[in-house]
Amino acid sequence: MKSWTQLYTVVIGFLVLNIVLLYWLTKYFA
Amino acid sequence: MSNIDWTVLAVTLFAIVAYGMWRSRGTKDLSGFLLADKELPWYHVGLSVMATQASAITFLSTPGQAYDDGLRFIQFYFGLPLAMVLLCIAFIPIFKGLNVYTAYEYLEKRFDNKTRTLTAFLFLLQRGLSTGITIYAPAIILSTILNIDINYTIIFNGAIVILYTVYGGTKAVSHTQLFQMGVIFAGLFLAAYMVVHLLPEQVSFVNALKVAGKMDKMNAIDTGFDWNNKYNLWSGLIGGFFLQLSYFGTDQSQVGRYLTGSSVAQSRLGLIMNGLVKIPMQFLILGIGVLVFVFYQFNQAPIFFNQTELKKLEQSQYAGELKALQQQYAQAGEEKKEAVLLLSSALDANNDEAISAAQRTTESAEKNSKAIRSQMTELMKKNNPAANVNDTNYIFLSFVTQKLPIGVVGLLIAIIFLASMGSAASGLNSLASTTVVDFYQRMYGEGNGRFSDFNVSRISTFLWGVFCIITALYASKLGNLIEAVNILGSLFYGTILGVFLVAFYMKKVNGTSVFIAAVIAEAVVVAFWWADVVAFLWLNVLGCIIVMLIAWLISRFQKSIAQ
Repeated sequence: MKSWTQLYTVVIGFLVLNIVLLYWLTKYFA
Repeated sequence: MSNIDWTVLAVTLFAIVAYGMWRSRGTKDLSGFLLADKELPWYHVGLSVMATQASAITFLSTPGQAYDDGLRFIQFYFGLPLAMVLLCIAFIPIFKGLNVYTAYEYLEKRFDNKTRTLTAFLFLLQRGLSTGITIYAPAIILSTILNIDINYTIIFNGAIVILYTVYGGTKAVSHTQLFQMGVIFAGLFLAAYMVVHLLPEQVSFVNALKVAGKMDKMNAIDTGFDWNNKYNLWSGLIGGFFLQLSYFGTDQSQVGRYLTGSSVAQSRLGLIMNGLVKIPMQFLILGIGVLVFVFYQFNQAPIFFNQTELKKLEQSQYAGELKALQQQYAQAGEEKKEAVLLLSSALDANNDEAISAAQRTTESAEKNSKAIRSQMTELMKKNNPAANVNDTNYIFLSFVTQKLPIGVVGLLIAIIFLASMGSAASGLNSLASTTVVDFYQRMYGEGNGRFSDFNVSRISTFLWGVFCIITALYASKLGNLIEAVNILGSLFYGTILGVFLVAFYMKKVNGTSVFIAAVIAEAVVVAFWWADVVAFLWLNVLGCIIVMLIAWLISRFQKSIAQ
């Protein structure tokens, strides 16, 4: 169970990372 | 297209279909045909789920959308990873635990037959039409590019899909999808490399992105909130979450994919893989569209990317006016190219004043080009009021066939065919599953019908295939096709998701309450869509919330009467 929770955290963390990188991309190249 | 390209196209298609059929040989019962005997590993499930969602429209429309509108469509997928997590936690254990063939089967166990039949019917309606569009969308574009009659392209594409889905069922679908995704990824990276390679020597990759940014194409994230803005961070995260949750949780074309996993863990890992890879993959496809846009800032773009419509105008009484407009467009293109080159070198030199000046010149040159183009589309309308003046879906393939080297063209066209076949195959398989399990078996009892359930599955796969081909043959202009499919989904998904969420989390609500709630919710969603009250992604949220709310109110009401 614990390992599944960790895996879900990785998925959500990766989504946040994607959004932050894309936000940076938007601002940097604006 | 050259002979080499035709060979690459034919060999790729033949090899993949033959492989899928070979791997699925010997399928002779319902479990094998509909669930691949539940023995597939996680990467198979993951790639199959991705191949089902990524239709040809993804590869045709998405780069064109980025060309017109920039990167902002990426936000549409932000809800997907969140939906994958909830599916892994709540949906997969229930579906796998009850050993169901279709998602709707579960609804009878939880509620009653009418709720199961209503949701299965809404699914058949929605998926039958969308699978038709899935076949039609690439056919219309491929027929233009390859100069083949559209009806032949539709029938050819549809017939291949029918052949291997009728022969091997889900196994054939999954095994072909595994290789389809491999070829698709290879082709995408190759296309990305080629477009960067084709940029002028003095323009580096980073410089190209900077130019795109100054021309409003790097608009990946919009944090502003607006109910009517189709793509912003919030509609993507919230509306997108509901859409993806309904799509993956209640649409049999997806549920049927992850039910093939050999265990709960393998099915979950497949969806997690999808949750991790989807956004980067869409970013790659949109990024290619942005780079194609930059490419056409330095190279003369055709005045209109759909050559068939353009040719019709060339052969009309307006040919003279068109020629004059084309000359003006070429002149405007030259001016724009100079302006963009200035912008690029100003960006290189990091000179703010020069950047602003060059940006203003570029903007005015771009405006000028757009004005000439819209004069041309007006002329097109004048010549033929039914003319299709939206060429977004033609941009990418037009670039591929005209600018990429021999061999690569055949491979990229194969990708479009494969993607279309991958999602149409899942569509047909799920339509057959629902018809057999939720209607045929329900009517006659398991194995009690006049024909064996396995044979009925094959026959219904074939008949749904024919239905989808006919839908494709009669599909009219739908504007941007990827949006048309998503809007169609959004009309039904919210309600269906609402029914499932009530089933999972509101244990006291009975079948009649949820049935009435679903009918009301569907009417409200259609009315909201008809009156154009909110952007389509919100329809998913609306349908779902109305079902849950009304079902709860009715059950409270029933309880108070009973007391």
